[in-house]
Amino acid sequence: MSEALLRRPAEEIYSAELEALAKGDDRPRPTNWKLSPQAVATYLLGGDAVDGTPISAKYVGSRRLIETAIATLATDRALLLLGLPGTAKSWVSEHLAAAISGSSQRLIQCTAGTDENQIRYGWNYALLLAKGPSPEALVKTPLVRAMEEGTLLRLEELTRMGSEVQDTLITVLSEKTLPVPELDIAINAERGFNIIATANNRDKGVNDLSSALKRRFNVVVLPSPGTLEEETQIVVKRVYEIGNNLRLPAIQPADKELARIVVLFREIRDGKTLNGKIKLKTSTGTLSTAEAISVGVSAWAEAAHFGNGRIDANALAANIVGAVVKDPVQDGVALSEYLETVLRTRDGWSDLYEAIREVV
Amino acid sequence: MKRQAHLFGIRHHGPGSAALLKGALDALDPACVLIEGPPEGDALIQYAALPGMKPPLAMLFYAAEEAANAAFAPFAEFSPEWVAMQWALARGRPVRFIDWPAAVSLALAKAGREEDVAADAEAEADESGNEAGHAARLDPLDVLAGAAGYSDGETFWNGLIEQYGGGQSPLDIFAAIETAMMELRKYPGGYDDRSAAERLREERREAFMRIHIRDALKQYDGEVAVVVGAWHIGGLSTATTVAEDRAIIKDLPKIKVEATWAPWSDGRLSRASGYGAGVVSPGWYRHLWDLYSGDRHDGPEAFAAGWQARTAALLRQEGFDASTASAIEAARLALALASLRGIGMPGLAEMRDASLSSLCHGDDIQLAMIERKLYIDSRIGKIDKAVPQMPLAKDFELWCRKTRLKPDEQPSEIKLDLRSEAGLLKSTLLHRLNLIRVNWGRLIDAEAGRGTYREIWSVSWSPDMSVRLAEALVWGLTIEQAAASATVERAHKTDGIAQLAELVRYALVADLPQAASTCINLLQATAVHNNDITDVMNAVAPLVRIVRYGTARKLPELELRALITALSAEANAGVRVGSRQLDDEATLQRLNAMRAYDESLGLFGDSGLLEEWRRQLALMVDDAQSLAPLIGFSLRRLHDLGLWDELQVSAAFSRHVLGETPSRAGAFIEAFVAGSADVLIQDQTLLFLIDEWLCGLDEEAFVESLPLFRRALAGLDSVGRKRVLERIAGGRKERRPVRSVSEENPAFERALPLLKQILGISA
Repeated sequence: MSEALLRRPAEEIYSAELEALAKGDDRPRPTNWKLSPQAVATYLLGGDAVDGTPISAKYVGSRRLIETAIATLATDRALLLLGLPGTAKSWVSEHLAAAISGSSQRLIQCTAGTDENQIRYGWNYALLLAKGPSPEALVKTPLVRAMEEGTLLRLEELTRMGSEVQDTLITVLSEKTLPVPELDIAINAERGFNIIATANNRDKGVNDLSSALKRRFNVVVLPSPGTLEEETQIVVKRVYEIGNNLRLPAIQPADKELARIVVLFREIRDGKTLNGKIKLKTSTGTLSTAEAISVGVSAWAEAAHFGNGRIDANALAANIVGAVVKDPVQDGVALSEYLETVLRTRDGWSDLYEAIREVV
Repeated sequence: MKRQAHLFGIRHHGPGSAALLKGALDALDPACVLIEGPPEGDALIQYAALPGMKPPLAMLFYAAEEAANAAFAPFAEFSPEWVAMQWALARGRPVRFIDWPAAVSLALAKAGREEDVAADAEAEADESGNEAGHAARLDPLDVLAGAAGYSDGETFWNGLIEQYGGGQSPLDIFAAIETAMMELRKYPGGYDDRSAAERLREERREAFMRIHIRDALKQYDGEVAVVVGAWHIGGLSTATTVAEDRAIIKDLPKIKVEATWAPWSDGRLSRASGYGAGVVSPGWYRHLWDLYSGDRHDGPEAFAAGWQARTAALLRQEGFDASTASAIEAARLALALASLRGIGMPGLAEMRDASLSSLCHGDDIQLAMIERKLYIDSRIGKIDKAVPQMPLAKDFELWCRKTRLKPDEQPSEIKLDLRSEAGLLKSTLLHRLNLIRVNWGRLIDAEAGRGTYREIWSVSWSPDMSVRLAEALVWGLTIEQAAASATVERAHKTDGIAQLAELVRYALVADLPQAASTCINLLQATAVHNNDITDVMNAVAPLVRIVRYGTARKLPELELRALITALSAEANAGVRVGSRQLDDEATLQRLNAMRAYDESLGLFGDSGLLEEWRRQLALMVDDAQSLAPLIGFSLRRLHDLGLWDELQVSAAFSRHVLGETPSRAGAFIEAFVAGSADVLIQDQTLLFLIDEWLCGLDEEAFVESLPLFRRALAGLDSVGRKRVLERIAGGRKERRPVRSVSEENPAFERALPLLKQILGISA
């Protein structure tokens, strides 16, 4: 059945790895955890299960950060993953939930339109009118279900919802209980319940995290990949994973071309060339790792369906321009400056220079 | 069977090994304790038990003949060596140092320096960086910890301490360390990157230690405990004969060495032990030590909470919002992290991660702001009054009594009258102390430039300064001696002429004539070899000031005048050729230097030099290769001084503007008219020289030079520009000759001879 799904949840894709880890896991587990904290760390960072099954790395980066995140969840403190766009916040959150609770599906997408009823609970009004307030008339939200079953709840983009709605969480986080005054009962959280929230620390203009709430989270800041090698590794790995999952027609390996995307993105993002010799204009696009991945995947699709089955400069060009040029005037200037001062003279990049110029 | 000494391999300044050592000593109850350290310090050990002795402290060993040759051995309260001393002193057991004598190590250091002057600085740093620093670089226990999967040596020790708490005898643990060390020593290629010289040094030291151990075994019936850096264990357990050991240490040079206690500070402790490489953190170590040495055995909870509470308090001091609740969460997170990483007690890494996540909301800038205070701490050691003072401290006290100044931490301001002996004495002391970096007083208002006799100082003492005083011992045994050699040392290290001139001035105000002479000689020597005329010119100005206005102190005036003459001659000779081909920045510096030099030379009053300087100015104007701004300045001076008449100046002006490239002409004009609008308004000749020249241009030349003028006058403010314009519009005012005044006013004429006499104008 799930074969038809566009994107399968983490716990399904990696079910074999999770199973192997659980089998050999004899270390103490917190109540309602499917794995021990150490096994969760292995699941995220890669390694070997006890029975020798290789575990792929889901997150490439600092081990200490992931350990801090897991240790936070093991205490009853909520975890807030902060970071620039495209630093794998949701990705880490999904895999943490998959490994710890066995499901990454308890999820609330926070938006400016999210109201308290979507966080706490709503009412089945037909039932409410017919029979009056009763537990049966309560419509449970993912939060309530997570509390009752002692699982993790994921809150995506926490700061996109209004701060008064955010404050609904305060009592839940500090006292692990959700009062329902209409029925004079309270929903108490089972052991194992916890919240992983993600938020973007770049976007201004959305709501700030209320300070009362901030104090109730342990914050882990996920950094942009430190080195070119690290970032290239992430991009190559993810492009292949996504492409295969989308059943894109197979193409020739294109590690080299993907590496070029990363170089180009990093240079424009940092405002200087890798060797630090030339200063560049930056673009208004974030040019994050996540965007590099999507450029890679699109280029793959283009090459497979319309090209010669090989990611080349032509397949890349249009996608790169799309990612870099968000503001037609300012970013256009940044890109053409980059083209003329850097790409034109760089050895072996003339094909990309020509292709991008054609698109522009 | 032959009796063996018990070898306790420790980690220098490691609280973990200190705690373990304490347990081991209690268990073994030795009759005698031997510690790695120079035997010259034996007499000092007894003072360690005095109640007024507050670590961090250092034992200082210095050559009696030459204090600059010195070595420090610092101790914190968590240093195993200090713990061993305290243990033995409390029980009245004999305790001794068994390393090679400082007499030998300092003699070798001296010989090494004389042998290889080039590597001077390095060798010195190496030698005065105490034994612990040396060992820290190749601490084998850190290697062992790394092999066992711990992030740092102290976390590893944590594990060992826990084992000890879990029933294992500390003696067994030390025995295990011994075995591990023997094993490690078998593979010298592994991490041992010491040079042959270092190896020889180790061999000699270990030979001394073995001899001491044998003596102790002969002398005492009971057990003998030996506390040494773990690395030495291998060398000490090697079976050798007395004759072999004697052979190794035969014919080593020796010098006379003095030893003394000196206060030390946390900052220096971490530096001396190579902070940064091994990250030795007194703050963290002290916290560990509190845990180990406390009477009740605190659990990991209290341990983590204590540290996070301290972190939170420091954060609050910096104005961040760090609540107690967050500190509690940070402590819980640290414990959870420790258990996730499979260690029983959170280490520094776990504590840091937890603070970052819970207390700082993931913002590492907050943590960075308190890191220094948190990790290094700021404790400063104190020495008991009963301990004989080190010579500099004694001298300092003498001076304090003589000058009636008292070290007080409350900042206060004192005004000194340098004409009185008391005032001069105080000023001299404060200046000298500044030279040895004991910045007790800060000169707020010297007024020295005007040659007045007053100085205003802001004085405030801080405990840190007693440490600096101790460090200054490397320069000398009295304050005068130390200040003089510190100055001379700095003079030798610098090759900047301006800095040397500054040092001459410092030496003079600190009443160090010998040092001043040395600096003057160095300055002369440097000036001869120096190609940068800018430096030479800059050096002249402060020196002329000293000679012209005096400093209320005795001056080696002859020497100074000779120096100024020599420097000026140098500048005069080199200025023309040196004024070609400079980049923009250097040109600007040169221009400023020439201004200052020109002014100073006028004050100095040597007519020969002045004449030569003016001749050079004229030559520069005519030298086609000189840089435009310098020509502009020279021409202006020639005009100001009336050396060239209007026609000459005008011709030169025209020559340097017309037909030149715009940038060159612009720079020339800019330098020529430099100064405020008032100069242009008042100096009629100058203004109309330019005006007439401008009016005489044909149209093409006029259009060409217009932008240059615009640029040259851009430096004037709008009001100034307006006034210049008005002045030009007003036309040339015919000034009446001065003598016309006398014709009209007979009273003035009568007064004139006397006026001339007063003003010194020859009639």
